[in-house]
Amino acid sequence: MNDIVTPGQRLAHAGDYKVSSGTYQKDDFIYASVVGISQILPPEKEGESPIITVTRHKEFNPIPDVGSIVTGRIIRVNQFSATMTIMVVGTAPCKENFQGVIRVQDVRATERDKVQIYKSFRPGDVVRAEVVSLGDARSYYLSTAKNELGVIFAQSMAGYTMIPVSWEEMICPKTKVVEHRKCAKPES
Amino acid sequence: MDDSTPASVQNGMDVDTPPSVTSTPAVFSLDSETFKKIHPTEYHRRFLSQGVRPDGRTLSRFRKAKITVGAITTAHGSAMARLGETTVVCGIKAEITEPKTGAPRDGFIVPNFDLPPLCSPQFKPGPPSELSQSISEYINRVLESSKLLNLSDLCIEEGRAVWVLYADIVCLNYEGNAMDAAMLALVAALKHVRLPTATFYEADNAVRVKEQRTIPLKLSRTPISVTFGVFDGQFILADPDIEEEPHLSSQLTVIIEQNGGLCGMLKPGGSALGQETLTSCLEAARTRATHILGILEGALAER
Amino acid sequence: MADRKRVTGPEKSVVPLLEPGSLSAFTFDPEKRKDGRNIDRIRPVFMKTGVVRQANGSAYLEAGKLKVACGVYGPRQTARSKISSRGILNCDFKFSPFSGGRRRAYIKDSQEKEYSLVLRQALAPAVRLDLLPKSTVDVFVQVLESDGSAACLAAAITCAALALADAGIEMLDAVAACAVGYFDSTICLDPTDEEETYQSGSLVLSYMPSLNEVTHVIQSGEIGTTTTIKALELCVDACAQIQSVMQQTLAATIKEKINGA
Repeated sequence: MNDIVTPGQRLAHAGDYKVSSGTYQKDDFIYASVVGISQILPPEKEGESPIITVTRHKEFNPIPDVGSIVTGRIIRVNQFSATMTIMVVGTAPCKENFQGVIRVQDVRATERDKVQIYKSFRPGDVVRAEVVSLGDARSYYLSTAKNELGVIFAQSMAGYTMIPVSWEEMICPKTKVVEHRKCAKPES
Repeated sequence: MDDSTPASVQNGMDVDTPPSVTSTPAVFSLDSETFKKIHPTEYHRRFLSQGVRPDGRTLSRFRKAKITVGAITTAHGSAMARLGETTVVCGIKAEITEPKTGAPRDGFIVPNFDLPPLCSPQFKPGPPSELSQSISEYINRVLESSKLLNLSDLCIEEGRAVWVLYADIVCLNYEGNAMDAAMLALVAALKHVRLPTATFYEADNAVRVKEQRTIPLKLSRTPISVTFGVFDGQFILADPDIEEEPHLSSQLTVIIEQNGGLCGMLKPGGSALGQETLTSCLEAARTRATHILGILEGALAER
Repeated sequence: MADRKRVTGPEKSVVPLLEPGSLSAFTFDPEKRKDGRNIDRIRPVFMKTGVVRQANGSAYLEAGKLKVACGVYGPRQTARSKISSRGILNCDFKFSPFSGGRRRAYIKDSQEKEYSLVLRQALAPAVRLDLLPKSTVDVFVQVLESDGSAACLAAAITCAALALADAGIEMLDAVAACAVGYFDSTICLDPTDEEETYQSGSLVLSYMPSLNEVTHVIQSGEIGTTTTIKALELCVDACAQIQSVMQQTLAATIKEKINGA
C-alpha cells in the first residue's frame, strides 16, 4: 500500500486486517485516524490477519507511557517522595514538561524500606527513571529501581559536577567530599 | 544541524564540569537534543565560544525580515511583519470620539500588543502577560515622545469630534524578539492607513464619512526597533530568537529613525554593558535600520 | 469595563455613519450575489497547515475575505484540578480587535464564549480522546478578518479540525463545517457579512463526510421543517467539498516533506 492517507479515509474491510496505531474500526470498515503513510505489516502470530497501521509523518508530542524511560530534573524532595519535571521521553525532548514523582518504595530494588530520600536525590539532580504507572492527577509514578536508572548528573554542595563512585555515592572532584545519591550505572 | 555546528555538539554531548574547572573524563553521554533541554545555558555557551549560534547565524547577524501590507480589509490600515519565524499582524481601526476638554483638537492613537495563547506554548488564556504589557507600554511611550503623529491632524470638528486610531498588534507565531516585529508592523500599518473624508453635522451631532478612503496619515518620522541580547555578560547577540531569549543576561533595544537619529533606547536591567559595546550596538542598529527601511519602502510600493 | 492591563483609549468611540448616497444601495438579490456566486455555492477556500511553528499543529483558512488561524497545543499534561481517564479538549475562540466592522475588545464577550463552546461540541465527537488519558488538547482559534458571523464560525470549526489533524491527534474524521442563511424561503450557502444583515435565520452544520455523521448543528430564526431539511442537504454536499480540500492540503504537506527529504 504505502499511500498517503488522512483521517477518516477508508483503508480496508474489517475482516481482512487487524487495526493498530493510526487506524480504527467502525462497522465493516477500517479507517485511518491520523495523517500519514499507511502500511501493512505481517501478522504477529500465525493464523492471525496482517496488521494495518498508519505512521505519522510529523513528530508527535511524546507522552510518557508505562514502561518509557524518561529524563528530568528533581524539583522537590520530602520524606516519602521526590518530585521531578519530566523533560525528555526516551530520546525525544518534550515541548512542554510533565510532572512525575518517585515514591520511597520505587527508589531501588533492594532494602526498599530502608531508603532515605535525602540520601538518594537532591533538588537540581538530573535523573533517568522509568514510568511505572499513570499515577494520580498531578504526576506520573516513576521508578529508579534498576541499575541503569538513577542520578546521571548532580552538583556537589560546592557547585561542581560530581563523579559517581558506587551505586550510592558520588564524589566532588574539587573538594573530595562524598555525597549520597542513588546513581545510575554509567555505560561501560 | 548544519555545517556550522561545532563538532562536539554534533557527535553527542559529554556531560562535563563547568569550564572553570579542569576537564574530567565524561561519565554519561547525552545526545545533543537531550543536552539542549537539560543544560541549555551550557549548550549555548559551547556554540558562542566558537563564534556561532545554534541556528547557524553569526553573533551579529539578524534574521530575514519580510513585510506585507493590506491583508486585512476590515481595517483602515494593516500590515504583517515577519522576523525570521516571529510573525505579527497589525490592524488599525479608526473610530470617532469626543476629544478631551483640555485638548479639543487632539485625536488619539491607542497601540496594544497581544501575545495570544495561539502563538507559543508559554502563553495561557487570560489577562495579558508581563511581556505583552511591557511591549505595549513601551510602544505607547515611543509614539508619544517621538510625536510620531500630529494628533491635531486627527481633528474633525474642534471640541466635538476627533479620530481615534486603535492600533492592535497580534502575534501569530512567537519565536523571539517580538518588540522589533511589533514596531515594524505598526509603522508599516500606519503608513498604509487611508482615512475617509469626514464631516461633522451639527444637526444630529454625528459624523458622516465618504465611502472612499483616500487620506493618508502624516508621520513625522519612521522609527525602526533593533534589539540585541547579551549572553553571559559578554556575547552580544543580534536579534535573539526563542531558544536564546530565556538565557540572556541582559537585552538592549534601540529605536532608530530614518535619518539615523536615535528615538529611544531601552535596557531593562540585567548585566551591565560597557560604553564601547553600546556604541558598537548603535552602529549595527543603524545599518540594520537602513536595511529594514528599504524593505518597508518596497512593501508599501507594492500595495 | 476598564481594562487596566492594556493601553486604554477614550471611554467611548463609535463607527462613523456613511454619507447618504455615497454607497451604491445594497439590496439582496439571490439571483445576483455581489461576488457573482450562485446561491448554492460556497466561497473558494484556501487552506494551509504548519503556519504556527511553535504549535504542535496549526492551520490557516481563507474564504473570500474571511481569514482564520488556528493553533493546537497538545497533548499536554492536564492541570492538576481535573483528572480524567479520557483526554480533555479545550477550545478557545477569539476575534482579533480589527477583524470586524466595530473594534472588538480584548476581553471575551458572550459571542466568543458561545463560539468557543460550539467549537468544542463540534470537534469532541471526532477526536479520539480515549487514547489520551491525563492529557489536554488545547485548540486556539484567532479570527483575523471576519465576513459573516455564521460563516466565520463554520470556518473556525474547519480550520480547527485541520490543525488537529496537522498535530497528529487521532481523529475519526476531519470535521468540515459550513453555514447557510435563510432569506424567507430561499436558502443561501455561505452568506457574507452584507448578506447576513438581510437574513431571517441561519444554520451552521458540522459534519464528518467519511462516516456520514453530523457532529453539531445550530440553527436560529423561524424556519419550516422542509426548508431546514433542504438546507441540511445543501450543507452536507458543501461539507464534502470542503473536506476534499482539507485532505488535499494535508496530503500535500507530506508530499512536500517526502520530496524535499
